[in-house]
Amino acid sequence: MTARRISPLRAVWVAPALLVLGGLPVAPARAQATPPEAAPPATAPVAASDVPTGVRAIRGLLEQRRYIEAAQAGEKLVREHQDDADAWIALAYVHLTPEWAFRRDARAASAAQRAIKAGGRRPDAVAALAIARARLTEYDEALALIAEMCDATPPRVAGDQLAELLVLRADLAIKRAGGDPTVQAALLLDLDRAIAAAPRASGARVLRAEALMNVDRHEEALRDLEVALDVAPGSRQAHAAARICRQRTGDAAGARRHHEIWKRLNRLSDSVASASAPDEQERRSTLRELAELNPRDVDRRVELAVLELKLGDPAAAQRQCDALLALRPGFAPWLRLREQAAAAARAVGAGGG
Amino acid sequence: MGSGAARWAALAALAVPTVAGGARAGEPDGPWFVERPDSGVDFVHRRFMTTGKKYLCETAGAGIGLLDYDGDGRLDLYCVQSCALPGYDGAPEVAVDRLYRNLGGFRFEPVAPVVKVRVRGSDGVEQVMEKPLGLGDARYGMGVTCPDVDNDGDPDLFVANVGRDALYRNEGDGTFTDVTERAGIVDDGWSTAAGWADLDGDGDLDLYLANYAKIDYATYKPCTTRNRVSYCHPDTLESAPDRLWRNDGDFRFTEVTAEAGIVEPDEGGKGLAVIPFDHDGDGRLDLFIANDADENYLWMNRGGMKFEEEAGFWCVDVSGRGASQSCMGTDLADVDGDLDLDLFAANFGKEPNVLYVRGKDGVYDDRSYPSGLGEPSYLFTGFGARFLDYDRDGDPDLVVVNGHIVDDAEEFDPTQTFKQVPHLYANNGSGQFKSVGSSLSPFFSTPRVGRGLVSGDLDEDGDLDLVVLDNDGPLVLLENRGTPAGGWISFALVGTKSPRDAIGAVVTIECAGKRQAQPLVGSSSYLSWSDLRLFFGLGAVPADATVSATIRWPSGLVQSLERLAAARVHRIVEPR
Repeated sequence: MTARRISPLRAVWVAPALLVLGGLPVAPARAQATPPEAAPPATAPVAASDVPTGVRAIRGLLEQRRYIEAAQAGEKLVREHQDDADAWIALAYVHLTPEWAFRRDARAASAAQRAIKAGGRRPDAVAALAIARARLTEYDEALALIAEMCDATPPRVAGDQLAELLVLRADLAIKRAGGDPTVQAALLLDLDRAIAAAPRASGARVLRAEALMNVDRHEEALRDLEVALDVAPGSRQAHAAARICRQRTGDAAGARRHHEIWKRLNRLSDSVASASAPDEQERRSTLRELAELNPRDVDRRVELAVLELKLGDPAAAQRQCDALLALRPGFAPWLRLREQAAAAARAVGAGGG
Repeated sequence: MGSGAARWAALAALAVPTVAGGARAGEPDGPWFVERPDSGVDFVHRRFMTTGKKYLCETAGAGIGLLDYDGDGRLDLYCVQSCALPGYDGAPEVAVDRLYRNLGGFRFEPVAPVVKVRVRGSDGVEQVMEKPLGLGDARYGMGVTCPDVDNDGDPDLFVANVGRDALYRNEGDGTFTDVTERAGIVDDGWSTAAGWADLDGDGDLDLYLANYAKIDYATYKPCTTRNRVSYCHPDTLESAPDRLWRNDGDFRFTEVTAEAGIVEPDEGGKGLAVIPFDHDGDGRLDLFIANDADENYLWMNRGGMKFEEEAGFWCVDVSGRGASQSCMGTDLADVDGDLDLDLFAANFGKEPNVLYVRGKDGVYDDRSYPSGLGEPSYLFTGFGARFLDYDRDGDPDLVVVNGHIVDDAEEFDPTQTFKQVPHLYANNGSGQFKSVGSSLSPFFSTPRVGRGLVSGDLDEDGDLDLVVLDNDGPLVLLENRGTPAGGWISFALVGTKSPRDAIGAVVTIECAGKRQAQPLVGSSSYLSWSDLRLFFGLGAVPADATVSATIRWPSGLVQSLERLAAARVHRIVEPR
């Protein structure tokens, strides 16, 4: 039994959980982008002799976007450790990963329930169940779980997790009765509270901006969006909201700039199949444009550097790394990438000679 | 607005003081919309499923057209059919599109392949002779439109197919002639929606043809989900480009897609609806294109048959949260009574239907959730969508027919089903909607795979009836028998400088201090063509109330009319 155990994994599941709203990063985005080489090594199928090892492996797979393998590893882990709440929570969060097209919300819910059965009403398990219930449009059940976590005195969750659940409640309120002024006021209170708990929660900032725009408080909305974009400069949703907000405040040029960025971000991520998705050449070209338009988006710039290297332009990769390192001198993953690019450039030079 | 039987009975009891043609007090309580299986329409759509391939088009069709093909003043019915595609392993079966003639009183008869026509001989003597109907398209049908292509006063027919499309000229004697080749509208791809509008201001209807995807039966790669062949996600198919043809008159067209600037960004979109309307009020008709799983387009008409795409700028490309949607059935109406036009599109399951409400600056605001249309539609895959004032209370309500595209959706997602109930949303007059269908008719509680949807006054009683076509299912006629909240007035527009169908016109009326605006769109809903007459409900107004109207014709001419009698269809001819 693991009921007595305080989950060592909570931090592990913050990142997937914050994507609960389909693109709303509630907590801060990764502090610094790292190229794929820097991701933790994954082993699949996972040889899960113990739960922490298995969970670490699943986390590694998720970070590499190897979702199916992560789900398989999760299923294997819970088969081998049926009474372990951490194992079930790991599986639940695999199926809560919003960008995985074939995730199964129902499996997330059943895994979270098993986690509760095994480990009691731990905040991470209840939060996972709330998210899954919301995804399954079982809103009343989700709201009850959120209330259990957030409205207790003191709240049973704090920080990013509190913010995440409050954002989810606000989002459900918008869905169910967004036009009702009373609901608007209540959801703004929830979002204020979420931002107080996690001031740099970009998802909460974006959602509050949307709510403020609905009541014509555009200047305040813009301030939220600026924070959101500072935290997550590659957020499609934040750029979309900023476009609308600036358009309404008469800043046509600003609106167009956000739209141009949004269009390129959307192009990179909108299609789920190769027939419609950009090929590598187009992807590189789009990333180059994004690097000019939105230089703060280091995730995309790292992706660009990797792609430049892959497509045989190590000099361009080096330039991109130099630009990144100017933002954060000495950052090891970027230094390693630059070294790879330099080595490739030398090889090209040697081959050419 | 209230809803349900209680409201239905309450309204009857009120005996609303309407103009003639208003409340039918004293009628027994009953459903507002009544299915009419006794109408004589026996059409059943077949999708001809290929078990080993599951071409996506099988689950996409089909549309319905309402047209008075024989000029008797009653709306007839054109139904689009599919056919067996390579790999079909079911029983052999011949199926073709069908035309049904409206006999009045909600009775229809199928029009035979050979019809009797009256012909006046050289000696001046009229004879009756047999002549082929000229219809019966047997390709894999998607959509139908019924524009008066040659401005001769009768509706012609354009059928969008997977494969060669077909343009039929109405000969005015109850028969049609296939003029596709002569017209030069040759498109062998997967066409869906055809938008007809006078885009170059020369008084005839040009054609914007939305295409979906490239499909090659020989190389079609089936998609699998959990080791089962399943209908593919649209992204797995390469988009087919939309095309634009200029009408040069006499059923001759010239393709002008590239010259006009209709160059779709990126990989192109998968078009499913075309709505012509003058977005920027410059007197030229612009085009809204609803795309499936891609950004929508708003082609701004710059004059001289030149277009620029600006959906993003006006915020109708994606949802308010910046996500591309799977827009399907689409319609246009003034939902909030501010006299400008708002756009609606039905979306895929787990995307709410989207309502773009136009702001004063012309920028649209995604009001899906605040309007009440988001949450009830979230789990449903919407196709046919029509605004209509079903209860004549003076605002546009909305009907959406639903049905997933994956025939075993239940297997993959417990929140989804293949068959889904249709929705009727009542508008409270300020753009707030409430789902009320299930209280108005059992039809709205019956799951189905809804696709085509049209509205029109089929029985000439001043209210709007509905026709729904299911994928791989029957066509359903729904008679509007409710007790309306008020009177009505209708306009049948006849263009002279504008195309005869007057598509793109906007009629604004005022009655007892209330103003309403309605656009004439033509192609709308999903792959379908509704009654071209505009019907306004007047709400509860004094019996002697009259109506004033302003018509903005596509030619730019603005015509004002005063003291129009309610409870009748006004045939308005554009002043020359």
